[in-house]
Amino acid sequence: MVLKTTTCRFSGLRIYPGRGILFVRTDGQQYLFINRKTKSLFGQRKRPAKIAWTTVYRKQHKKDQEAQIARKKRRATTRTQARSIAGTSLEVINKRRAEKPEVRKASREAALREVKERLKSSKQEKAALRSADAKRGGGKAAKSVPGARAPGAKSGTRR
Amino acid sequence: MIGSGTRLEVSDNSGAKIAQCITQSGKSWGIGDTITVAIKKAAARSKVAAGSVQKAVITETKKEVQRRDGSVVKFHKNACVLVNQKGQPIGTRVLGFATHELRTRGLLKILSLAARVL
Repeated sequence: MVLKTTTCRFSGLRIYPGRGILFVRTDGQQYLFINRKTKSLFGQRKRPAKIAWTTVYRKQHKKDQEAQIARKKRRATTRTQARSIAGTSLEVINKRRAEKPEVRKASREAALREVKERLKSSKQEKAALRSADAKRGGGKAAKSVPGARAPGAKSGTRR
Repeated sequence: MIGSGTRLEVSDNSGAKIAQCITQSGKSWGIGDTITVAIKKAAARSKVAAGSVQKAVITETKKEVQRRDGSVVKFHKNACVLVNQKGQPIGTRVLGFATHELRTRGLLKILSLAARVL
């Protein structure tokens, strides 16, 4: 859930719904304070730049610099970079990256077709063998048939 | 916290400048209440004369207003808008702020005239 917050005019802290004192000056200027403390300080004409815990003071005196640097570092490390991996050189990777999707698709389809043809030919060979076994006769051949068939069928569906 | 004797600025173009609350003493009123006022100061071409008695709706108070959502609204001055006996505003413009507290009192005419609504 996202809460709509406003900022305190004096301290710069976030004001969540249900908090805050809105003070409207005679000239129409609106001041929103987080609590009575800030309202009181404003009434005393204190300047937020001279009070150490306000965001204005912390910004002026560069108190939150460490946090900012840490954030920058984290951002830098997350950036991805192309480099050689497991025997594939950087040039090859870059080449593959630069290829258009159409080219990649075409090469992919060609490879698939080749695999399918190979499978078909191997199946035919197996079928031929089986028929030869059947001619010889015997229960042994019938038993061996489903075992021989199963792996081939499985690989076919996977593709 | 407007009581008998409180002076309020008149934030409309009726011509009156300063009004004094002359309702029953010992009670106090806030934003949205209708009070009886005596006009203390008025412009030369005013719809209401200085010294006359009028009705007025309180629109701004120095005393803060606590709202149901927890927020607080507070003004730097006490101000009112003059109305007639029927509750219709005498002026044609509301110069100061109007708050949503007026809506619950049925003072929609003042709200619609106001340029700035809080």
